[in-house]
Amino acid sequence: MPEAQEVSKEAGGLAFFIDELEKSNPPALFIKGVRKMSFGSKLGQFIIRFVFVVASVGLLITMVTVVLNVGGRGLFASPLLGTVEIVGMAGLLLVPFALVITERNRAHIVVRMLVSRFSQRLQSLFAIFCFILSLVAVALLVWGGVLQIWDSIVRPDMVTPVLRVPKAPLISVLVVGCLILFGILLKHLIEELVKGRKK
Amino acid sequence: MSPILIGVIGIGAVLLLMACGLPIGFAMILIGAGGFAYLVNLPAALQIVGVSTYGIVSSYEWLVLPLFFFLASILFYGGLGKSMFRIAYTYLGRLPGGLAMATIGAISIFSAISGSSIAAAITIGTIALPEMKKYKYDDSLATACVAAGGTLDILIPPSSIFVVYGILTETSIVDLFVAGFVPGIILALMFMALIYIRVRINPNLGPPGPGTSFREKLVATVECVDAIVLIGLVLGGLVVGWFTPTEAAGMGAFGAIVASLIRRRLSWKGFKESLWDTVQNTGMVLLCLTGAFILTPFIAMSRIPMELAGLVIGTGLPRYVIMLLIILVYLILGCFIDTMTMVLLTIPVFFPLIKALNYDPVWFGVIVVLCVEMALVTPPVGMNVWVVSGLAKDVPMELIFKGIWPFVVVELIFVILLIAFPQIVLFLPAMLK
Repeated sequence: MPEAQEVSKEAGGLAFFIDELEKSNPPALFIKGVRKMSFGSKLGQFIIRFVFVVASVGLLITMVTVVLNVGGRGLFASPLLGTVEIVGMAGLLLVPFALVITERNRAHIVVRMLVSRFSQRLQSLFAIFCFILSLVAVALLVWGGVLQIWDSIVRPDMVTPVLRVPKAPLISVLVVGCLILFGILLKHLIEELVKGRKK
Repeated sequence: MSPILIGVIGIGAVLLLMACGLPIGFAMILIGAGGFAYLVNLPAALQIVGVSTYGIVSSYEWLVLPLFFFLASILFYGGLGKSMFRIAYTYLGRLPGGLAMATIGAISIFSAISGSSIAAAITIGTIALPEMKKYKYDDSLATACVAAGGTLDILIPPSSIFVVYGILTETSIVDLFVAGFVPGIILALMFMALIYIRVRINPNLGPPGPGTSFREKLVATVECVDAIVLIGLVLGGLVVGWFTPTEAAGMGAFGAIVASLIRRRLSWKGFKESLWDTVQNTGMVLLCLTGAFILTPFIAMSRIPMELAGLVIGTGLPRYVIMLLIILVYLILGCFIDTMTMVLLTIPVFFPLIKALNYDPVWFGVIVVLCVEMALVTPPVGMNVWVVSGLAKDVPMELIFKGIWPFVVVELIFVILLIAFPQIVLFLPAMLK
């Protein structure tokens, strides 16, 4: 881990800032001042906590909006205006940031059956190869998102149908989530490179 | 190169990248965008990437999945599994193999609220396995019944696989949920019958537990009343037409929180952990969905599904034989690929063929889910077996797999039964229309 931090600092990328406090348990994110941490660690912890809070807020907004809509419709014959759009916007808070948490925990769906049979060194090479491809995939998501933002800016009709919310800021949230995901992947790539060199 | 060849190479590349250890969602994004750029052009491919990603992330329909994950997590951390196991135990526990049957029963009740087989296996397994150990149940039977029982969760509605299938094929999710209900109950009963017969043949596998009084049964039922209300709310609301699937999931999650708070079962820590689990699972599944929606236009542009349908129908094989071949493909894939990935990769290819063969999409959805269920317990991937192995650390994995085979055979028999009598699946949706 210390080596990984050093390389990250040299790289000067977002990976430097996204440092994890603990590898496993979520409650560790909520323990304050357990040990002295570097600025990078603190900032990394803050970013992960921020991402988790944003995603959780998105999830809770989704649930509450749906409940209010059903309640309003059933009890007062007055459904919540723009429920579908509000839920969609909450989804924009939830999903991109959820991707970050999933990557942080390295919990994406992966078939390890074949690679796990290889030597440690070869496994490390495959991991580096996969991180690079993952970065390319996320870069594509960012690129596609930026094009959508540009589209929304030049075309004034790009608003949500009921609440008339411009789409550009909404898509920007998605792009921000993808950029943080890019940073996390970069950090994991650097860690894997350092690990690979040691092997 | 012809578009079909490009498509075949693309599918091969996705499988190859998956085998290399690339997360499946990223593999589909890369090949989907790359293939589409090759067949059409780069700006069109980027347009597909942007539109698909935004479309999925902000989709009201897709957000049903996080809400169902949240519901399952709340049930897990709220400890509702305990009362579900107790009610099943008080009614079935005194029978030979009763604890194992109670485990299947408890998982069936849990499944009627949750849509995650792993959550079902963990929630009920955590309670049932120590009990079965206490009464000297055979390790193989005890662990296998939790792993196999857990698969019922994706057949008994609500089910995340039904949601994915429904949206991919534009089939009514409510119809799929309704259609899965009767097969789910029948399969649970078949599992129980299997346990009963095995224990009758060899009583040492699962000795009967002590009988329970009427009062104990009543107390267990009262304790489970919130779960029964939740089932009524989620399933009843869907079937009667009060809720859309997203609303049912939202109401279910909200109801589960309220019930857990009233019973003082859910701590602040448990609530945060359920949020954490939900967020993580959301990222895991929705990345795959995004990838699938970027890959699908490429597959469609390559014309593989249409050509495959034409080719298969052109062979003149009876449609039942084609269906058996499709099931065989699922069984083989299930040994290597995760369940969600299997559905996302195969449905865009197989579904046009199914439509051309005049099979009912709702019926096929149930068949797919049954095949996927088997994938959850067949070696070497068998996710549920891994989960149960984590719960029963003293039981070797081989012993669990050994105990699983009778359940897999029962599932296979059931699939054949559904092919022969599709009415088992279709009568309830037809009746409720």
